[in-house]
Amino acid sequence: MSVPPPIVELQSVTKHFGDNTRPPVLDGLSLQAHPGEFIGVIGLSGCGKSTLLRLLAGLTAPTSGRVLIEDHPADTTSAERAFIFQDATLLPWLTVRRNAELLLRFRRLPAAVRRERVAQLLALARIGHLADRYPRQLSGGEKMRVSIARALVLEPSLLLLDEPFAALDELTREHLNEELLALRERQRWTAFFVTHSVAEAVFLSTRILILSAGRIAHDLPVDLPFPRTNATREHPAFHQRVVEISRLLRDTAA
Amino acid sequence: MNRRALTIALPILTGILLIVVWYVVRLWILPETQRFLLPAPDAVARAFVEKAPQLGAATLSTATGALLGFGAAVLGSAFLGLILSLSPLVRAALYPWLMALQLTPIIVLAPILILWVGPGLKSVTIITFLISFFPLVVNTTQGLVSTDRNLLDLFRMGGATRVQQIWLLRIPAALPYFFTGLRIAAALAPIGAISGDIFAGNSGGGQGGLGFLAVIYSSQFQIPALFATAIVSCILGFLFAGTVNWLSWLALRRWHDAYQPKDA
Repeated sequence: MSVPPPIVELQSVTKHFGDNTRPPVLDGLSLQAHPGEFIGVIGLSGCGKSTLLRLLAGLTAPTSGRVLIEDHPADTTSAERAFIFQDATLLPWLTVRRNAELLLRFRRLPAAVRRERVAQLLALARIGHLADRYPRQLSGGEKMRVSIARALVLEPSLLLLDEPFAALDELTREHLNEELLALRERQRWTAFFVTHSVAEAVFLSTRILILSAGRIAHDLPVDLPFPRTNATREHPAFHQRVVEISRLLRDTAA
Repeated sequence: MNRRALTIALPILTGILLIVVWYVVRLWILPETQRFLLPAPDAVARAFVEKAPQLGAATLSTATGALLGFGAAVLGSAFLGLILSLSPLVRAALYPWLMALQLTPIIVLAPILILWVGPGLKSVTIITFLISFFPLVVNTTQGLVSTDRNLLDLFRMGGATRVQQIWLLRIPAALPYFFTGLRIAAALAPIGAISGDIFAGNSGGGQGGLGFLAVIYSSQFQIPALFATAIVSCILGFLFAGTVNWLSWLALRRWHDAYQPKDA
């Protein structure tokens, strides 16, 4: 069996902001990600997590090194990437349906195709009944579901999530974690998921990166079986992994 | 009594109280020799009826100037706001001069304008334009450049064109700011038109606006008619402000937080 080519490859990526007198945000970081991986990225504030996502999104360019998506530089590739922000970033003047189809409008897809795909995704995200509401009429969790539906409507090959559930209550967050994994079963995107919660990272990921001072301090597999459900959260192996990784995270801070 | 009824009844009560105070001041406080300075409300009402044809024509004239100037300011500021929003350099080049224009009192500019374009509707329109332009252009520009950074990133990542970014994101996001400017400008426009009338209203085809009428009545010592003119001007202001508030409600009620019921 041959190893599939990586979907994401970072080659000695360094990123400075402003002048070079301050230490770089990312410091010679190299990394490969393969299709289907769900990579949790954790680390202290300022460790370069968000910058890593912005590089992968092509929103910013590395100071040196290369960021390749499907063998093309990240800022030129045509690979479908979707970004999910910490806020839902919905347009308040559009209904849920119109928000969810926004990215399809940029692609100039015919209205009939847009409608069908959006209806399908809204149903999958369990917000089909909210299609004609405006964002102000939704709860935090519902807004985030719209944001997820909007991202997945493109059927991306790479999904970038920057602490998407950080502002939600614990129960909503757990629900959305499970639903995100259920959606992954259908669409098989590769994900980079930045979070502050070790438990969330362990629950979702197949692999966890601990970043520290712009480098990968630890690169750890998470081999808990799928599908992961509430039962996973109660399993001793889950707890053990959370404890181990929390300890490693604390050590990087020391 | 419920809240809604109270919000209607209370201002009416205040109004009645004011009229009572007005009579009291006139009949018991002012010495008889000065009573002519504060005509009784009924005298003002009689002047209102008596001068109705004059007042009506003057209101029409002022309203025309106010509407034309205000409309031109809205169009002009939308256009200039878009240009200013595109480049910080253009903003740096033009802002101080816009500010200078705003800070120059209009009553000093008015005589210059009249020398240039002559008295009448044209001058009144330009004066209204000048007074309402600044709040509109400042708010519109502010709205166009205050777009949420994450939303801009979303549009960039999604491959939106520049036109899509402006049309689907920057303009709708700027609407609440634009309407703030519009409300300020709507309050200023009738004031601008009436000030314009004072300087430029005469000999404009034999019929002046409200400002012109105020000058005439004042020179003829027709004090009840002056009060009637003030009331008509006030109503004109209400019409402008009310219409703009209504338009703003129409445009924003579905999605903007300012228009949501408190208990929702």
